[in-house]
Amino acid sequence: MSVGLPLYLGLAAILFVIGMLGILLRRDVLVLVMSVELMWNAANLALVATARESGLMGGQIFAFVVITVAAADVAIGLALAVLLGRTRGTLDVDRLHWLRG
Amino acid sequence: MGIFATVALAAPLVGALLLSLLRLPRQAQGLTGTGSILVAFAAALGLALTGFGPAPGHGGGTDLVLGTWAVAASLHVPLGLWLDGLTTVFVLVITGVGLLIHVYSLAYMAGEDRADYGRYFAGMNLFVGAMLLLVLADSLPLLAVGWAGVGLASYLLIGFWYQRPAAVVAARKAFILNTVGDVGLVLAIAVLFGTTGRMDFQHLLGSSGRQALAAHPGAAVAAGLLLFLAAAAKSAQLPLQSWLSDAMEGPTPVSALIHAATMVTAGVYLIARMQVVFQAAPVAAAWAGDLGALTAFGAATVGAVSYDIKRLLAYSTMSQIGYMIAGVSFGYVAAGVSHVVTHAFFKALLFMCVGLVMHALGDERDMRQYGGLARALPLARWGFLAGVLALSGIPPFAGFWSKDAILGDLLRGGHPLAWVLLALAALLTPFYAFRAYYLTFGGERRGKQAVHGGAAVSLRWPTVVLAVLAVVGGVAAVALQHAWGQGLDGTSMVLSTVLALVGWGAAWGLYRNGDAAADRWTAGVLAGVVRAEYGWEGFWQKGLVNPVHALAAGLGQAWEGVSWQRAQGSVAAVATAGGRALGLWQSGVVRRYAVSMSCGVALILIWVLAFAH
Repeated sequence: MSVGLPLYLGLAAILFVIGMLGILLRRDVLVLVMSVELMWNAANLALVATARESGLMGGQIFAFVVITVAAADVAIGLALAVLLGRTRGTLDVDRLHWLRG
Repeated sequence: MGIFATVALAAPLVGALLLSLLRLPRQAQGLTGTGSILVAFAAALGLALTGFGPAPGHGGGTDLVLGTWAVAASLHVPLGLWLDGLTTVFVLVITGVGLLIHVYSLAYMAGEDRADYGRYFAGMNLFVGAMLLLVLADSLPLLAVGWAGVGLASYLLIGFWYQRPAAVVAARKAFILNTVGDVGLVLAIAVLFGTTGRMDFQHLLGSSGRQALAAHPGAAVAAGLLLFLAAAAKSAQLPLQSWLSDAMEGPTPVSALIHAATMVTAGVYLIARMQVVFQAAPVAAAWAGDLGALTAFGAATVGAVSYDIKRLLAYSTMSQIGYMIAGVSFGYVAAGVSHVVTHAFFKALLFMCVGLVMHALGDERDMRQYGGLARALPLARWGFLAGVLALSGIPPFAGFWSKDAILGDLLRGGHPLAWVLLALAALLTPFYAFRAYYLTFGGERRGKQAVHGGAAVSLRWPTVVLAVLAVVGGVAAVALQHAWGQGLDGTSMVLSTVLALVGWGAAWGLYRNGDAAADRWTAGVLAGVVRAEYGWEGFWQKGLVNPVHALAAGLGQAWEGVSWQRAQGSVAAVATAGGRALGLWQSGVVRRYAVSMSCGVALILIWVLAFAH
């Protein structure tokens, strides 16, 4: 019993928007990393759903690539969060704005 | 036939290359320089004997294709040699007279040190090679290569003594004025290509080119005038004539080469070669012919009051080239080209004799310092006399037969303006020629320099050969005219003879004693104005050079002094302000970047979904 593609894509869109809102609205670096992870997985869901619907393997393979890159992303993101916490004493991105031009 | 033409063209160019690349000992330099021209001359003789080629002006000729130079869309430029009677005559004159001048140079330039000696012969070989390329080219672009090469070689040789400021200035002047002509040539090629769609002689001179030009008379006139501009620069005709008299700063054999075998006859060749244009554009032909005739007359008047013997010969060349230009412009190719041949003989001879005189007198060029040289320099004296007789058009010497042919053709063809000017020039020619002769060789010695007689063998025998040719060279002229379908005209011959004898008589009456007192009239104000080429130089100086200098100076001041700094300042201000404005965007707040990115992605998505089908 399969659920229709539009529902999968709708769920993916909802997840993506939640992730995006998290980035736009939250200020904690850790939450930001988690929001990014949510957006990765929204994209993954869309990939896998369309791959299954069309019967092509490309989407599934690409989902594996995305998982790999997302893992690397988390590793770097968490490492950065730890370093920021140590050197700046805060994880509030609104106060981490010394790259102003 | 083809192999001869190729060898004739290649030999001088190879010679120039060897002389400029290798450090040869002096003997080998002379041998290479002269030997290459000897090979070229032998090949030219072979070319003439195996197939002289048809008369020019009818589109007949052999295209010896060596390859393809350029192909682009409808443009097709072949790389090859064009062989017809006109080419053969020019190749013979260039290599023949060129050879004699090279031999003469062997001893004349012996005073130069080794490096300069080689540089001299390299330049001379390049000169001959470029001129041969010019007359052998089978398309206008290839002709233009030779054309520019001749200009380059003349620049190198006029400025040979580069330590002398006057020589450098003269070389630069020659080059700049020639560049004006080069521009004319290139534009003429463009007009002809636009009109006929071709640049090669095979089509341009044939019936297709003729028809295309007949269908576009305006373009034909433009092409004709541009070709004349090119010819005027190379051949020292009004309005671009003034470089030739200054070009006397070069060594005398170079002058001989410029005036007799190469360079100044290039304009005559160009007009003779492009007859198809001038036949389609009688207006352009009339302008070219009448300006040539005006040059012939004007230069003769300047020659009549010159003191510097080399300048006098330069004005004489301008004048004689004026005859040729007038002849070929009005379509009398046989007469004009036969004058090229005889003029090459006697003008090279005159320069060689002047060279002998200058050699004997420590490079003195002022005729007021000459006088009474007949006994000390018999060879120069008799050679100069033969040259003067030929130049004056006294029968049966060489110049008579060709000059008279031009005068006769113009009279019969109904070109009264050109004829009157040339007849006046014919009257003046023997006057200035014999004035120079009497003042140099007649009377008593005026200057103080010691006379070193006794010329080297290689100075002597080219002079003798040319003297013989100046006396009997008329045979060649008449034979050429006969071959190209022109007969002799008794009426005109009598008229020309009378003109020449009257001019000689006037000179004899004034100067037969070789007395400098007779020349006092040339010190007058009017003569001074004429000697200054009627203020022509001043006209260019005031009308062109000074305004350009003033403009440059003014611009330099305005630009460098004020505007430039202000411009620098405003450029910096714009960059600073722009940077500051964009810097606001770069807030460093990550969430603002995220908003920017989201909005950007949204906009791109909207664009893709709404418009990109």
